[in-house]
Amino acid sequence: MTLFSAVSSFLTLAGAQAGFYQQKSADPLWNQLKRSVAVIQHVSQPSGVAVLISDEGYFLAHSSSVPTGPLIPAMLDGRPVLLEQKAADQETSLVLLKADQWVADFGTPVAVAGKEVEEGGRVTTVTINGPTISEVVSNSRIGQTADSLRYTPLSELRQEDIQTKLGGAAAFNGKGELVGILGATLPVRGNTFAGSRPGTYGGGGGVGAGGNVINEDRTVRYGPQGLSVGYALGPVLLERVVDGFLSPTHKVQHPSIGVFFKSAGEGGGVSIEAILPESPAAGAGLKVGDTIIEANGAKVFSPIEFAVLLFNQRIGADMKLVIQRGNQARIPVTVKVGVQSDNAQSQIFHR
Amino acid sequence: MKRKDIDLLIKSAMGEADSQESSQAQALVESSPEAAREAAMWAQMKADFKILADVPECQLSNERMRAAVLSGSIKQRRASAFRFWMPAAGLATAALFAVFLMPKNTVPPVSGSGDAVAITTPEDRMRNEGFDATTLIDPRSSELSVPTIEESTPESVAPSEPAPAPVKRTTRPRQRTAQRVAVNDAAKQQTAAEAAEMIVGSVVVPAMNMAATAPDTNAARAMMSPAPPAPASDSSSEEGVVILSRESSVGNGAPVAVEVGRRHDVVFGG
Repeated sequence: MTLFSAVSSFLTLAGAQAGFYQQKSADPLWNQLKRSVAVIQHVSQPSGVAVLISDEGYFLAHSSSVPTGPLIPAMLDGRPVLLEQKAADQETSLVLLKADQWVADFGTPVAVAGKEVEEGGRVTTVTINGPTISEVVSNSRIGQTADSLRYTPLSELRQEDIQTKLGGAAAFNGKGELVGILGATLPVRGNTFAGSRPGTYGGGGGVGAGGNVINEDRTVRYGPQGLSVGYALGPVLLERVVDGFLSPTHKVQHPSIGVFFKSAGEGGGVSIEAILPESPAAGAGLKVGDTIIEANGAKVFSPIEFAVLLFNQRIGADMKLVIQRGNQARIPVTVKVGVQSDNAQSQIFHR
Repeated sequence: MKRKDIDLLIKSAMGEADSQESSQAQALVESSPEAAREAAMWAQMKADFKILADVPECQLSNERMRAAVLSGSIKQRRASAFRFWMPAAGLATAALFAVFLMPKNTVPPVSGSGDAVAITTPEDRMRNEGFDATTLIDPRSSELSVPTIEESTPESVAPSEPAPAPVKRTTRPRQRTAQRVAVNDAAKQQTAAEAAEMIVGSVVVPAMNMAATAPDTNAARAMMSPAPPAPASDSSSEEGVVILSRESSVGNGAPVAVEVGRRHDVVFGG
């Protein structure tokens, strides 16, 4: 983007966003957050928000908010800033942006909350149109990223807003701490979206075209009219992402042993469907078809349990597993928890 | 019309006229079509005002939010179990027809010499009769669900809508190949479960789940048809898994969330 186009974009955005920071809100928190949330612009239109997370001018945003390009114009409390993408976490679709020529005290960085807002509580969700109030419906939704199929803890939020672009909206608690970034919303009934054909499903076997392990059985749920149902990446995950982004390497590290698994049936346990090459699981001797029945001394009842356990592992820790293989009832295996590699799903074995 | 006549009609329409003024307005309406139209217009306006009075002042009030959440804004259409039972019952009926109308294959009597007699496996018979084994799913996948579109229910109101009951199919290994096997007379004396696990070539073919109780062809064929869906269990503790896709919603431009029933074969990575 040339300097001329950036300046013209700023002027256009300044005019369009004149009301953004001057909005009156019933929530007094907004006056505080105005200095922490920048509105990203794309082709003279606001495309999302970014949250200031450090005094050095680092911002956190959802990838759906960020247009492509070396320099991204944005407005922070009515003042223009130029942002540059420094890092991205494929797992959470969050990106790290750095403000060009940042001056200390130009904005107020926010901290990630230590815990979620309790269910039934309210959060202030900042969208491209300004703040809105969302209700926390649940903090225990089981999420899964489409690419790596990893477990992601989600909070379900609802707000009376179905028109505003909500992807990447930032949610704050009463203290102004970041409690979530909206990762996705339920489609409103009557809308269609590419890639989903209700009433259809893939072929059998658990392996789709290209050899990728996919979830074939789908029930498409739609959100109610008049309300938008959004799923926010919660503070536990956000803290991990922010720590990674603000590290010298700007890299987020998610614990992983490199397996894909599903329920082994009524008897409990999880059955290994695929193993990533050169992963800790491969190195420990795990094989496709093995059934993991115990993990760290506790019986494994469901794939969700095991996925949550993996999510909470410390990188470098030893996981003590007990597996069943063929006629052998109990085989102890120790796997050292490693770091998830990028493009995990693309490395899945073909079956 | 004169200004005072219009004022009279307005006053009467708004219910603010006394008895004398009401009588005068009524007489005016009866005598003049224009007055009648004017009166009707003001009466409609009053009705519209009443509707407006029902709209809460603050759209973001707790009461409004709660009402919107509780009502869900649209009537919930419960997934009718009938629509799952009907096709399943139809298929079961069709399967029974096929069982009774089609010629039965029987195992030929074993010769007295004890020579091995070739028989066809149930799979052979099914393939000959038009069943496509490739449509059968992985044996480790015990359920196959029929995706449906359903409206979500506000969490605070009721348990989330149960995922559509899966259509149970019996399963067989995908890699099983149809081969003729030779068994001797002693095999006929085996239990059904033992007989089902046969050596096909050099590959041990796992027993079919249903073979333990239905060794003969007719029952086997009947059981290969989709069974009626299992009754929906209490799903209040089984919210679906939310898959965060990268596709954008047409409505609000946000990435789309797709919810998958937890009972289905959800594969996780870790």
